[in-house]
Amino acid sequence: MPVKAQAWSPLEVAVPGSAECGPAPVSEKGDGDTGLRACPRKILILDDDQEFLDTYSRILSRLPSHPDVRVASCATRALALLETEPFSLLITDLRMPKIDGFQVLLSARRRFPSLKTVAITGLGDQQYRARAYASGIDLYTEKPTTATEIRLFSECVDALLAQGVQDGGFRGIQSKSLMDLIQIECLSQNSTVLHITRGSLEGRVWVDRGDVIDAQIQDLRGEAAFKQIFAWKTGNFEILPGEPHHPRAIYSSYESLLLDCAQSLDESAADAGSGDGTPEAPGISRTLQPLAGVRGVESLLLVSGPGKCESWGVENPQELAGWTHRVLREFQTLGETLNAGPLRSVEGVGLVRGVVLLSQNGTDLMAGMNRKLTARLIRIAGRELATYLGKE
Amino acid sequence: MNPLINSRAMGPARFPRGSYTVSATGGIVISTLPHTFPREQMEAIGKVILSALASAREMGTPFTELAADFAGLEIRARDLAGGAIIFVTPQEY
Repeated sequence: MPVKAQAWSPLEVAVPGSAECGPAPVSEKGDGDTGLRACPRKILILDDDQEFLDTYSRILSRLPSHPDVRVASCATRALALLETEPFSLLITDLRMPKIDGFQVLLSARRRFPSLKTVAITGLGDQQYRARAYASGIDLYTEKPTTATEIRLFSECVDALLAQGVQDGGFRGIQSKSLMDLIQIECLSQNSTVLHITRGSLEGRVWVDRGDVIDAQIQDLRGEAAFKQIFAWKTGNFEILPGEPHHPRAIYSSYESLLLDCAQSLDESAADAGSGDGTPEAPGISRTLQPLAGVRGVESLLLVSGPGKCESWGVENPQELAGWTHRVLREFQTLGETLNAGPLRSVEGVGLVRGVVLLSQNGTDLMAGMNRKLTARLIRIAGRELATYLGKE
Repeated sequence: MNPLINSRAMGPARFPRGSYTVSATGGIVISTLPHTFPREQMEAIGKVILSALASAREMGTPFTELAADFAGLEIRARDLAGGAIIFVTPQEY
């Protein structure tokens, strides 16, 4: 009997007896409170082999936890799905054309720290295995070929799904809280640089012979930067070699620094009442803040002159700045040729994301928009962005 | 054309309303625009649209639809497997 991967809406969850729904998409654990709160566990399988996708979407759909299985045959599609839907687990092949599985894993790890990841490959290469584990995956396995291997693989996947989403934690090769990480490094009298990422944000903490001596996030340094990094609840880390000649900017002991940060966090959590309390984009500049508040805006790039570039949520600002400049100039030249009047905006609607391009008084703006926005909503957002840009 | 109206004195040119398709190489396939709208201008629009769609694809963010909003004209295009269908709409003053 063919099993079809299917998206489940909360309404379908509320009426599990419906024959249309098939197996109840809610996990057997955790839906007892409301019947609506629990989401189906969702698996995304990425492989350029359609036959593999068909086979494993069928097999994994039949797991005891009844996961919702989605498939993608290319990395771009997989990343687009990850951006728009919450998944519990990503299973990816490593060898694929254009963007390979390692790139997808790195990108997924940066953007979705709580996502479980499984690397699956037809090659039994030790280097591949080491590289995959170094990127922080949860499981590396060769493609199952026998019934026993398929059963073991299915059990592993089900076990990973059962682990659920942890309450935060920084994941490198292991999953640790930032407090743990710093304490371990300091108590061990190590000299290291902790490189911590959360989405597009990137921070560093310098530890020298067991003392935290500096921290940096964007333009911030010292204790202020440390406190901002410490406020992140999830992210990825890697431990880089120490930099013994790095200048000291933090003079408090690591114990008092951690205590101070913990107290600040407690106070801010109390002020905020309940909930996460962590600002979604703590690294955003003052200039971009009002623009980021426009509905649907997911990333921003502002170029106000040669070398003057501010960005938020953008992975490749230089490349994107060049593209934005080229497209805007081409359309402006076209407008002059046609005598069509000044160019107000260029808008793109795409499967990965929407885009608004604006140019005012020598300043170019690129706003990445949520892919679910229609052309009309992107136009409305573009006009709002133009108003803010005009005020700058 | 009304001889009492000097179109140039009114700012941006007046544009007709219509659509046309361009092939992946920029050639015009079919058009509903009046013959008064110069073919060179249609080709110029098509060239910029195809270039923008192609560069967006290369950047990894392919567009299904692209629009340029000028004071006197709106150009809206949909990707057609490398080519495009382009809608030309005059802006209302």
